[in-house]
Amino acid sequence: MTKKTQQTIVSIFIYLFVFILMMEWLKPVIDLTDTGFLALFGWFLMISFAFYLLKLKWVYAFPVKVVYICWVIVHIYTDLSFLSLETFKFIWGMFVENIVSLLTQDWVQVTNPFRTFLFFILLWMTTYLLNYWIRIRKNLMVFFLFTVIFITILDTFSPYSGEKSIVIVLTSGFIILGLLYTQKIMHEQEGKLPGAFLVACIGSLLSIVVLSSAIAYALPKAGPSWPDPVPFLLSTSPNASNGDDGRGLGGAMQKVGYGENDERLGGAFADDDTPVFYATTPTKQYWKIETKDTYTSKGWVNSPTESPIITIYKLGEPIKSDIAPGTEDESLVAKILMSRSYPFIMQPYGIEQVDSEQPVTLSLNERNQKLNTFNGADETPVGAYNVTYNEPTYSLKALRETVPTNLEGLPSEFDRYLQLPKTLPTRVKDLATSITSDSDSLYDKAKAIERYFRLNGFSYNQDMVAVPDGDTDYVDQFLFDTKVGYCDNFSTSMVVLLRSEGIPARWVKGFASGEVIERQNGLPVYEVTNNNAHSWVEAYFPNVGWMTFEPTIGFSNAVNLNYDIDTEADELETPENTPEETPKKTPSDKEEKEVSKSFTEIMSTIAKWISDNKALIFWTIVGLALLSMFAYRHRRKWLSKILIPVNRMRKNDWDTFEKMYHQLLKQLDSYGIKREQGQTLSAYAKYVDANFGETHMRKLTAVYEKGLYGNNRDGINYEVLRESWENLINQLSG
Amino acid sequence: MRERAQIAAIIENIEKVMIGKKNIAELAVVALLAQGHVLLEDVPGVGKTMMVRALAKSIGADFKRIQFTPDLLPSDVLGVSIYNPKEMEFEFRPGPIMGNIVLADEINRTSPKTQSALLEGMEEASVTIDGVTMPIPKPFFVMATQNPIEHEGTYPLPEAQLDRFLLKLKMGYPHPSEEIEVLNRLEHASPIDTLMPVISLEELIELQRQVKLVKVDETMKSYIVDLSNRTRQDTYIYLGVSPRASIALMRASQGLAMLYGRNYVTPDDIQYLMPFVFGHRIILRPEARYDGISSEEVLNRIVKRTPVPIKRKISQ
Repeated sequence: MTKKTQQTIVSIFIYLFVFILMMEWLKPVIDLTDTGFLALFGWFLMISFAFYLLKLKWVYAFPVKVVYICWVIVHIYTDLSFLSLETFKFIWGMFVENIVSLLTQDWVQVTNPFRTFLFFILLWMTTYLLNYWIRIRKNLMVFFLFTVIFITILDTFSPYSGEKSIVIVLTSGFIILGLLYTQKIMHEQEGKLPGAFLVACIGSLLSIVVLSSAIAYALPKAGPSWPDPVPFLLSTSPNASNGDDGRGLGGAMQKVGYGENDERLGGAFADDDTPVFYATTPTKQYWKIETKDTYTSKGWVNSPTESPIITIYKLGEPIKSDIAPGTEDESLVAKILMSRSYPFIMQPYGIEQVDSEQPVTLSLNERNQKLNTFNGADETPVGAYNVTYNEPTYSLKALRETVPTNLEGLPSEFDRYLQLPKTLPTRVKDLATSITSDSDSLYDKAKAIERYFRLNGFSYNQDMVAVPDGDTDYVDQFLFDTKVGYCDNFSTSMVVLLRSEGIPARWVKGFASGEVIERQNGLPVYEVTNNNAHSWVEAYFPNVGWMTFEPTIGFSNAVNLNYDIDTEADELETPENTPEETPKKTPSDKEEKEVSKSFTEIMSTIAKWISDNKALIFWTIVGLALLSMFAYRHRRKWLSKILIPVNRMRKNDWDTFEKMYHQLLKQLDSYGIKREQGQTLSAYAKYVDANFGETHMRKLTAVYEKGLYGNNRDGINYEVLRESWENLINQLSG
Repeated sequence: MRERAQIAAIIENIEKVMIGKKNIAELAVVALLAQGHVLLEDVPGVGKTMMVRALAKSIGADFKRIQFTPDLLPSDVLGVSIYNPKEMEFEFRPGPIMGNIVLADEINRTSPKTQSALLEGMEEASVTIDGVTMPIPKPFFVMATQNPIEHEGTYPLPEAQLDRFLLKLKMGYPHPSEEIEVLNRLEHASPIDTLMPVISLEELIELQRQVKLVKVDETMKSYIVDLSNRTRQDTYIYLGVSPRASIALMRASQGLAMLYGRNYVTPDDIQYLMPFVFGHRIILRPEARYDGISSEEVLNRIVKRTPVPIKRKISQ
């Protein structure tokens, strides 16, 4: 193999990987600008690099590329056949119109075909520049670095996900750098390199890069220490949606509140304190609207069914919900006054009956536990109604007796409460097992999961919530990556973890209790606003029934427990220790500590601090500027303190000596011993030594000149030189 | 190191007869090592002839002297074929040029025709007489002198001819104390008669071969070219130096480096030699003369303004 062939082979690889690198630039641009046609642009890059590789003369390359660009434009924007007069007219027209627009600075008039054309020109220039770097400079470090920065920034601050991209970029980047270095060696070498050396060179390069990336890929990676700022950025963009019941598609900022569609959870929420209803009730209540049973890995839907079991109740009739009302205390009545119209009832737990002056019928859908209000066949909102309820009470003894074997005899209608998507990562199930492994009863397992979030660094935040895309699972992302979210994240995760352990569970939507705004006849009036929209969990225990759980940090919903077991037997569930007994917070209580990490918070804190301390900042900058000017003027006083230790760390070789020598020249210059440009080093050295009355500079210069002009760098005693050098540097700073 | 000792011995030998002219002796030796020729420009009686004779004696070379006069003919320099009636054929009588060290005294006194006969011999190291080419024995070193004072009846050497000399030197008057020393030495005897050769001709030829092996770094080559270029662009210079001058400067620098015992050329060598190599190769504009600037000053100015390369060239 001749040297030329060797070089050609290495070049082919270099251009191949540069093409891959360039494609990683192209992908996000195509992705984010919604352009499409990645392949067509890719082919253009391929053609360009191939031409550069073949060193095709521009007279041939230029027309081919121009024709290709024209063909792509015609192909994308028109149905014309390429070799027709119309096509020529189209292209000609495009150029004439757009160049006129450009010249008159009428940017809006520039058409899309022409933009595509300009984009091609940009790509063309980039490939040209890359070719220059590869061929002439034989160094692609800057481009590589910028590619990495570009991808990481896009990954962090835009919806583009650079997960795979970054791996490709890094591996191909390192390979290119290595290959370019190999080529440099080949270039400097007089004859051809031994084939074995070349194979070893490239082989070891490839294996190191591939092996290290494989290991890096396989190793577990720490979760992000910084919350994803994308939702924040999107929320501040002017395009953010202001729909009022948007649990809509992720992306744009949604406003908090009740909505029907939960197919895609995630994304930031803006506060909305519009009142939804007022409840006058003696006890603090969660208001349940409906439940959902099918988790899609992105959100919730209800399982399709052919014949939903719907029971019709008249006003005043006892309602049979699948959570039986309690029996121990007297029934209570909640007066509900709606300020927004919804055709369904806000259900307190242990609902018994609904009364209203409006003539409506109620229909309870067994599928989702929703209690709709009808007038005839039409859904009708009810403005005011009274709900009679008796909060269910659970026997702790019965709960403690629930064991996993009880689950075996569950009827098939519970299957939908055990559904999990096939794509659910196994680590979620593994996590569920590890959380619950210490608990025996089903109830304790559920409590362990409920507690898990509070104890493991999760935090509540409405602004900084990721929307899973691609194959990402909503729960998996929350549990392992983001660990930041609001009720939907916590409740959905708990349901999935419960189901992973075989405990039937469902996702409940409704409103949290709201805030007391006044008292009427001694009873508190709760104002429930859109901010109180909430989701939580119901789990089913055989022989006990459905029971609510509140995994969301900052919220609590006490369940009536009957502590009917021996005290020595319960270590955890003494009232002092139960999470329920922690001082009750209103659900809207965001815990300051937990949110403090949020990006918005940090940004606004910074902004506030800046505006508060303008004068301080100004004077600090002025001070720093003066200080640095002073430091610069007197740099030779302190620079030596840095130069000496820094250079001591370097190894004793010619390159270090050369650097040190030139640093010394600079220091001498700033000291005031200037070298004329026509003055030789040895003449200068004599002059310097005459100043200090020693021979250090002549010693150094003699060695330097011998090495530089004579290319004779053997047998140099660098230690001795270093002494002379340090001596001079110290004299200069003294 | 051996080379350095040999060269030092030559110079020391010359110094025995030439008081206070070490630099001229050194430069003459440099020219000898670089296989170039020297033009000495000075008034009579400052020791030019003594210098050449001492050099010739030190290397054990054949010394010839030609006194140039207006009526000197080329054949007086090169040699002539004379009909030998006994042998019935022409017999070549070699001229004074067929020596190792030739002193061409007052070269500007003779006609251009004779001058060029000498200079061609210097350039080609051979002479052609009656169609027969004869090589001049090696080493061949010409030291020509010219008197700058008398212009009457002289034929100044044209620029093209001056280019044939590697160096142009000036002896100058000795320092009074040195002059006293000269008188002291010559009071009773002539030291030139007792001089013994310190190296053989073969050793000298070997030295000349070694000079070409002295390393000239890329940076030094570009420095030489930079200097040459600047003579071509200088406002005071009407005609800058030729590429032959660049070669001469490089060769002379190699010789000087060897004289100092180095096997590489430094900018100091180049700077030191540059006025001697370039001085007679440039033509100043009349403006320079009006401003009272000599060619040495112009060249010194160029040296001062040309940046000395002090860093490795970054190869692409």
